[in-house]
Amino acid sequence: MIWLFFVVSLNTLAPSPARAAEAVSQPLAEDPKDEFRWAFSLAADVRWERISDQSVEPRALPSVALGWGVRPWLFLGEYSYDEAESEGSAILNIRRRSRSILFWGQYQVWELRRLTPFFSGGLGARQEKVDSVLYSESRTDEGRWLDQYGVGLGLRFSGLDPLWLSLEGRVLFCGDFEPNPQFGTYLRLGFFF
Amino acid sequence: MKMKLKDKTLVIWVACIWFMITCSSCSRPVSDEQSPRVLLPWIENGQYHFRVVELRTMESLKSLRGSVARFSVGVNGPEPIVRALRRSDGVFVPTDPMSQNLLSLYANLERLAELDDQVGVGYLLPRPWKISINTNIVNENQRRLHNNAQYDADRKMIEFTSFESRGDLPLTVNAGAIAHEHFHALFDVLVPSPASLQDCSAMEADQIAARREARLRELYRVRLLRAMNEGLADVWGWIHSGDPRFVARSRPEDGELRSLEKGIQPIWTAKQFSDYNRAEGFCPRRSDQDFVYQLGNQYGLAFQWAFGSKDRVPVAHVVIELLRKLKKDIMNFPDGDELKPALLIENLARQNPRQCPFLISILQPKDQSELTWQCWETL
Ligand SMILES: [Zn+2]
Repeated sequence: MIWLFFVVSLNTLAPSPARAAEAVSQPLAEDPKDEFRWAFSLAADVRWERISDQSVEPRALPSVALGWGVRPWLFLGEYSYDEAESEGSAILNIRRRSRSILFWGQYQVWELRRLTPFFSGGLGARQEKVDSVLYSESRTDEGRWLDQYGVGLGLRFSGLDPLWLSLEGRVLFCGDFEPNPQFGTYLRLGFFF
Repeated sequence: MKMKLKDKTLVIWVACIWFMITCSSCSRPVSDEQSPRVLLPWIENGQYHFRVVELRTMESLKSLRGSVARFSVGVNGPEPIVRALRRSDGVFVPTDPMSQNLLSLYANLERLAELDDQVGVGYLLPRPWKISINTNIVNENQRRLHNNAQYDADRKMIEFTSFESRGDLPLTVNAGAIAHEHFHALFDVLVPSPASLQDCSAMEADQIAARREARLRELYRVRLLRAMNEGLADVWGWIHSGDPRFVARSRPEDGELRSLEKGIQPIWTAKQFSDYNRAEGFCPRRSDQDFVYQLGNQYGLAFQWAFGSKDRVPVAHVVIELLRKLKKDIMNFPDGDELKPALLIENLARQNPRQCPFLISILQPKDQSELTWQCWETL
């Protein structure tokens, strides 16, 4: 369902090459930043989650994103990957892995000189895998893809165009999160092209 | 162009929000499935493998709530939370060691509850049983213990300490160790415990001199019952797990002392046990002396050699009958002077006359004659 939704939105939103060329070739008089621009970013996706000793700790996941922006919107598809250290003893241990895909829409409320506050909403899916070892037996089990979605509030710094930096606070929801919802921050370095 | 894109993105944005709201019920939480099936380290034919185990009495996997047991982190702490992924075939797989330990603990307790029901003692211990993990237990030197467990008779709670990964099987996964602790709970309700000993650490020298003999008699009784309790608890561990070396899997330092897979050891006489008791002194610093476990192991080996090759559930019946008889004996001998190590073996012989020749053979000559006479009468 999510995928279908995304494909539809992609087709609706992405301008045809001709239209994109049109957008580039017809600069807008009032502000050149209003044009359609591709965006790419690298980020630390920090999520507060419960760990084996039962406490809730932050975990930083590397994350990449690709999308496009046209003011006041920025749309990004994000991929984050997590591979925890193996925990337990030599004869019985567990290593957890997860991957997460989220499609975000960011809407900027107003634009200050260089700082742009924005709201964001995202949806996607997430999958966990676990490698378990018991004596000489080892195995990998894969969970189902589960829907996840989130909302966020952030601040974008874009004084060094085409580079931009943003910091976002997020609340994410997914059936297998613990705790659910999960709080997170997303620190991003991106550029437009 | 600009306006068109804006219009479309606005539509998408609204659709996004609508989708998020309607989809909030898409992801079912992992917790609300009845009788979930879980992949766990599980013992079969004396070996541990990953197996899918059905938790028949589990009500909430996430908070580990079921009709058999309730858990807390520390004796008064919060409920632990379990993390598990769900495979496409519906089987849950724990995603961290603590969750794996807890689920394995619950699965074993569930099977132990079934065993209790099978041997007619299911009513004795009200469920859900109280289980504490990551419990702060200290030794006589106030050092915090790790990789240990105990049954706390005052709280009616099985308590596990934190587990230090040393390359051994965690006690919470070790089926034999879990059954051992559960047996202490059964022993506690089936056999009246002797009055607790007076704290001796603050006694003056003249007080000690005046009370020495009475105190040593009390210690003898307490330790003899403790030996019976520990020995039969190891038998219960073997009955549940089929693993005669379960202690060594988690506590290698005690493995040989408590192994049920070694040559038969003759049961000590009352004099031998009393000598060890006296040697420990009036006010011993350690509460769990090796000689107590040594006698316990003699009982364990007697069971293993007499019944080891048979179906294990009937052996559980034998153990329970033995506890009921022990209760009567203790009521009949309130001073404890007649209690002797051979008593348990004599009672076992009375219940199982076919085992008489073997059971006579493991007693010291001094205790043999009485049992021989009893066996002749029974046969
Ligand atoms: Zn014990």
